[in-house]
Amino acid sequence: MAELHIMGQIVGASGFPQNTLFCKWGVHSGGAWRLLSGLKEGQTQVDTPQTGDIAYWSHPIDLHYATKGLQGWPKIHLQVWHQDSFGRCQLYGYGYCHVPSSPGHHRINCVTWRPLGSWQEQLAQMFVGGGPQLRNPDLIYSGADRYRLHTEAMGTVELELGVIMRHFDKYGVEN
Amino acid sequence: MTDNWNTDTGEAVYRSRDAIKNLRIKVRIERVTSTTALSQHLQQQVLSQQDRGAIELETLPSQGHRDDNEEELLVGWQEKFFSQYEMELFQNEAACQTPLDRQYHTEVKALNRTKGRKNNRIFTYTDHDRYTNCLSLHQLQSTDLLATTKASPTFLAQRMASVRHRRQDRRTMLGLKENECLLVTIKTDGNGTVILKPDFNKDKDPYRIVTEGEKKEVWRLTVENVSTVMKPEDKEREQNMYKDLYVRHKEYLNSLVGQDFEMPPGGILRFLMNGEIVSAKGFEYDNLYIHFFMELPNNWSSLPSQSLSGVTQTCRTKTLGKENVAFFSYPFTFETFYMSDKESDESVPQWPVLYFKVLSLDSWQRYRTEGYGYLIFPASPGKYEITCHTWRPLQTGTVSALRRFFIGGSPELEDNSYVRIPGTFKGERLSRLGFHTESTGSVTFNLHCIQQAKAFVAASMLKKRRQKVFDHLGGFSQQGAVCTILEAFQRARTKMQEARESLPRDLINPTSLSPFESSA
Repeated sequence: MAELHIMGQIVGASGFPQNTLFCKWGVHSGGAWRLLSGLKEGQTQVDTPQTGDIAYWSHPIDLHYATKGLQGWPKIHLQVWHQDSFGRCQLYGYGYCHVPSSPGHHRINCVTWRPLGSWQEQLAQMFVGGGPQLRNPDLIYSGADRYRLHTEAMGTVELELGVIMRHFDKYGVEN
Repeated sequence: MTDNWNTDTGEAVYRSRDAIKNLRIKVRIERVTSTTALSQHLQQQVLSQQDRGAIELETLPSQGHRDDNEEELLVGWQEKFFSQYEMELFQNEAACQTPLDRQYHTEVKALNRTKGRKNNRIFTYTDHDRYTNCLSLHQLQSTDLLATTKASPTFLAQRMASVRHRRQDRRTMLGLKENECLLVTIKTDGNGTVILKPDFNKDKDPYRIVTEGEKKEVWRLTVENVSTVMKPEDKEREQNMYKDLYVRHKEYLNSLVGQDFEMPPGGILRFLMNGEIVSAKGFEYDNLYIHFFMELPNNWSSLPSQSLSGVTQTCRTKTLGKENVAFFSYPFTFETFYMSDKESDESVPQWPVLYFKVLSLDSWQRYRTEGYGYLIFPASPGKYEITCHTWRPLQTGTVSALRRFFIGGSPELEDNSYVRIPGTFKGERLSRLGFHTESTGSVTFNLHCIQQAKAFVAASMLKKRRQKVFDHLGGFSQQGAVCTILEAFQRARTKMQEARESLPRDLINPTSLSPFESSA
């Protein structure tokens, strides 16, 4: 049995049209992985930066996985949302990235994209907000139907992760 | 006459796993008057004299004034001692509003009956009193709360006990609250942190308390920790219990997943690549998508369930700096197996290649090729961020440019592997003379590569030993190079084959190949 520790933080996000952002995050892993301790999903606070572009969350991630195999390496999925002054929440992007498989300290910039509707929907989105969302975000992982999706590029989320691996070398894993 | 005062009245933070109700402190105050100061001074003088027979009786402190000039009190956690003001207030039943007040009323009546009031000047305020102007708690739970009041600072405290001192003044009916002064504040949060202001000063100089009011008096304050200390046997027993608890927790964790780990069969290298297509930038048109597929050379295989190609979503670009960039954030996982052959022992194996093409599809359904590129899988495991540049085939002439602009057709490659070395190429020199291309943008990938083989279990021990030798020789370490992996692999394989030949036939069980000893 090999163990993987993921310790880090979701630092913040930048490059979005508006700055008042929060993030819903989660870690998705395969069937051979078992979460021993830690929360594998959560939601950050809403941050409004006063100066500059980056909204900082500094949200902690502390996970301890045990695994029986290499398949289904944990992946982080992120949803960045914007809360406006009226309290409405609007989706600003989906992002997906793998947890690094080499031990050490990693800075990850995860880019995000947002689904795009027809031009009528885009016009309405400019005035009222809202916009299409994925009905089931887990569909992304199967990857089969993704080509039908029309999206636009949004900002990036910055993560700092420290990865500690244990007993992987006993089973002949090189990383 | 100069006394040494302790001026360090800051907060002290203590951490303890003990229950907070075991905390007991002793508070002692002594009034500093001219007589006591003088008598102290004389005592010191006297004691320094050798001749003890010349002491006058008056210099020794008289026992009579002891009660009024000093007081000592043992206080436990949230232990309530009433002040004179409170005694008089709670005697009157009409003043009781909350159940707490009524409880105080019964306690005061009991105290008056037994005349057993232990404290005179020192009294305490606990959390629940309505005179504590520091917190207004809404709930008392085990989690910490943030609570603010009008003017006082915010504490992360759950309960608070404070000890105050009040000047006795028989002239006033109810004592003036202004004559109280704060001696000690004890705060705790639920997690074993105790904050004490001021700190214990048993062996150090006493603190100086100056009362306000008409008569300014100076008092000496000493705070001492008299909580019962745990016996050493108990401490040892507790430590043993903790050890036991951790061992059991570790066993429980082990039992959750099991001891086995999925390994590839002997002699086979598993190559696992988790990656993302991150972004594409610098392309001519908008609404880009990427179509990619992997090519496996000889000796490489993959499971049937592994899909070898994929298409990303179509992404509209945005302007970042000087270029238009499209974000895909498309994760993929790729697992292949490499089986080494006897024939290709000498040559370095060919690694799989990822071919991709970038295409654009706009709202008018015009479809154009934007670029072709390829990416060779990295040979050593680790994390990679690779940017691949692309080109697209170009037909010279205005007609094709016009066609590409208005209708959207553009020449495509029939064989995608032409980007690198075409699959049908058999000769010695590859010539692309006459092939016209135009450079277009670039695509960024994030790759995390892992390699796993049974041979590495023994090879990791070998590598460690070899590293030591190299360090002795002052050489460099060749970690992760292709040749070292292959070397270890081949060595292990030959050893396995030798071992197989040497064993008698009936002992060989193909499914249980135990890892062989590493014998450098």
